[in-house]
Amino acid sequence: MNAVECRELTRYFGRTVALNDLSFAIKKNTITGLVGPNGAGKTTLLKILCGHLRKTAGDVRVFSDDPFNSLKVSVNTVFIDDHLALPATLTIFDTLEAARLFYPNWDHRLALRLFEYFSFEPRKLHKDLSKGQKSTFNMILGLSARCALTIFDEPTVGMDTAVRRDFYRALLQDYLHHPRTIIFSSHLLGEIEDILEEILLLGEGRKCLHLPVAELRGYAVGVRGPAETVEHFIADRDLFRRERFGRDKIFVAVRNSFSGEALQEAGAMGLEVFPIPAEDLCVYLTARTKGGIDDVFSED
Amino acid sequence: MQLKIYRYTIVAYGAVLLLSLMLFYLFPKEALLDFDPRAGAGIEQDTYLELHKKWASGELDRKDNLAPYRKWHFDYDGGHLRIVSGGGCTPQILVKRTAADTSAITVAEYRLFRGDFFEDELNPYTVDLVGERLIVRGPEQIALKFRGFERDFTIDQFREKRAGQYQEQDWDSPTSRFIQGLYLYIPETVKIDYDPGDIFILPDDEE
Amino acid sequence: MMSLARISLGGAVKQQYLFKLRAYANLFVSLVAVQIIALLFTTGGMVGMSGMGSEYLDLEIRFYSGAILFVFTALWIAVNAFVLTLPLSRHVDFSFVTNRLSSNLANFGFLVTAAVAGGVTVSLGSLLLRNVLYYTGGGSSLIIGANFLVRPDELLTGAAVGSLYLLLFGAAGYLAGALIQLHRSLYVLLPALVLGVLFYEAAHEQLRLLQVINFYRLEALPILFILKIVSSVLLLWSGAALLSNRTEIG
Repeated sequence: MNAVECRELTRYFGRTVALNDLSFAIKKNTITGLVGPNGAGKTTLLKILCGHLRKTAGDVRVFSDDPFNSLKVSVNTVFIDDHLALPATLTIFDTLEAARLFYPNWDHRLALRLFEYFSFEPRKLHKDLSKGQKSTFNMILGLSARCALTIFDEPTVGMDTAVRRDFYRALLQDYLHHPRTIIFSSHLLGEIEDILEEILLLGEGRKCLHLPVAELRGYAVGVRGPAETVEHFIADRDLFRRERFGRDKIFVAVRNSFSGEALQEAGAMGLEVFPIPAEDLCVYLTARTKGGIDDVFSED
Repeated sequence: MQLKIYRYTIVAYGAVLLLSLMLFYLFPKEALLDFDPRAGAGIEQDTYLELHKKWASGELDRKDNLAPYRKWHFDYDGGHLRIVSGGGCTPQILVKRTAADTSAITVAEYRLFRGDFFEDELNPYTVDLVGERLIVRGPEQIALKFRGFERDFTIDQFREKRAGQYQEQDWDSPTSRFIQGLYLYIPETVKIDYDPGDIFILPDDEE
Repeated sequence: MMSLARISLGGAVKQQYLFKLRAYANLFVSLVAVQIIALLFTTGGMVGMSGMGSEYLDLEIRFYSGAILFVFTALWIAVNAFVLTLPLSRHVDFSFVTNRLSSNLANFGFLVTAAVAGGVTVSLGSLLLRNVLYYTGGGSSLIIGANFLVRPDELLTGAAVGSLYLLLFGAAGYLAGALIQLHRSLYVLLPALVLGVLFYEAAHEQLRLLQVINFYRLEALPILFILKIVSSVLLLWSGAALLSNRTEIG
């Protein structure tokens, strides 16, 4: 069963295309990381999924419903970002009380324990919290709502490292006890990689990759060595990145379809072969050029 | 906390309004003025002219129901009398001549009221005779401030109204509702003299 | 495994409505403030007849009315109805469980509550005004009896009629807000249009606006008056709900 299905989903803002022919499905009860550079369309996609924005064309289904104006989607979805609008008049404690009334699966005990753990002052107003505190508070809201579809859009803005780690732990713990569909968008793929099951990579409104994290880790290898030897070695494999360094040495990232023996040979040929971290691979895949920023400085 | 402050404010205002509601209905409002300045203007002006004519024609003292408010009696056998103002408002005076052998001056203040609330508030004339000078002091002006209320327009929603005319705004000047003047009864032989800038004297037209 | 939660439209509207009563409690505080200011303005009174009278008598009559109180309250509800349609208010709604219809319906419920609160407090405020002037004004002997007393049935009529008028103002403010959200240029165009029509009418002495007011004001039959107001309000609200049913929460 899929929690989310998109087919040829397209969204324009005026003449700018934010989502372009996007098709994918997210299985129920998985944690998916939504990654991609700025402007890739991550937020647009998430806001369409929770019914805030309209699609321009294509089809989008959340729990088999069109999310725009669907109460069923709304009551089963919580969307947390750093712009989360909360009533200016309510204290953060009153806000928790208010949220409790909206979500049927709300876990108030969890909310209060997290509230205490992060030492929130109940009488404070949301607007008086620091950026990081706001994010932490919103995270509590998102976790305690226990919605079948829980969406975090860059939820860690302003949080310090310790709080971010706590957050990832809390998310994982709660997910294990109460499995649900979680979509998590973040720039810091390296940090969240361990809690993710799937990765959906967007670039310029298009889907670049949608894979289990485990597969992504072995998806590409980096090869470093003399240019000619490297070129010969990689033959016509999918090339993700080519960077020059030194006088005639290059580094390439290619699709990993090498056999074990081939990799051993590489050592003998004087090549360095190493796995490409998921985070770097995502950067390579969504870059406009194969050379990255180096191309700006290249004479050719 | 924030919510509590809001609640207190709202509850406090509600309590004040309810207390005021009880105060309004549980304690009868007594001694309100039975006087509506908006009732029937226009007609009053005629009445005032009528009144003034009556006063000027010296009829007031012939009306049985109009007892003089106050009367002064002075023995006087001089041949000349100067009437002077002793301050206050310009006295309204009508001189009536009496028989030559009376040897007395009588002054009467007549008031013609319509039973209005300010009747009792009006100040009286004072009159003194010093030698050949009759000093007439007009009543001190009284200043009254009072308060009226408009009906809330919502209350009158279901009364018949005409387009463009929601409220009648005809006012009746309360000053047109009374006369307060002096009649001087002076023997016809006495010569009268006064400063017209000070005093307003109407001679008796009867003769 | 998490089973999907269910909610009916009515349930969502009720929840949103209760939420708004808490989240917008400050609006009722501002009602209190607005009415206190209006009462302070009113206690100055309007000089009806000053310096009237002769040399003997100097009369000054000050007239007091609940008109300012009503006008301020009408502005209060129109402005707040407008604010309810602004993106920020919509964002708050969409932080929790709602769709556009339930958000609008909850707003309508809130506006009904606000109108009733406004209508009742305006009527009671009019009594408060009378009490204050009666007990502080240097003796009751100087208060004109006419119009001072308000019969209980008049008080109720006044509160009900006032609430209905306020509901109309609220609905008008709400539609104006929903209209303006359609395009940024309407922020300038709509007020300009309204002012333009007013000036044109004033210049040509047509005052069709007055006819609009008369449509409600001259209706002396209670049932027809209620019908006129309620159908107008429903019309304004339907317009607003239709206009805002495609709004994006960006």
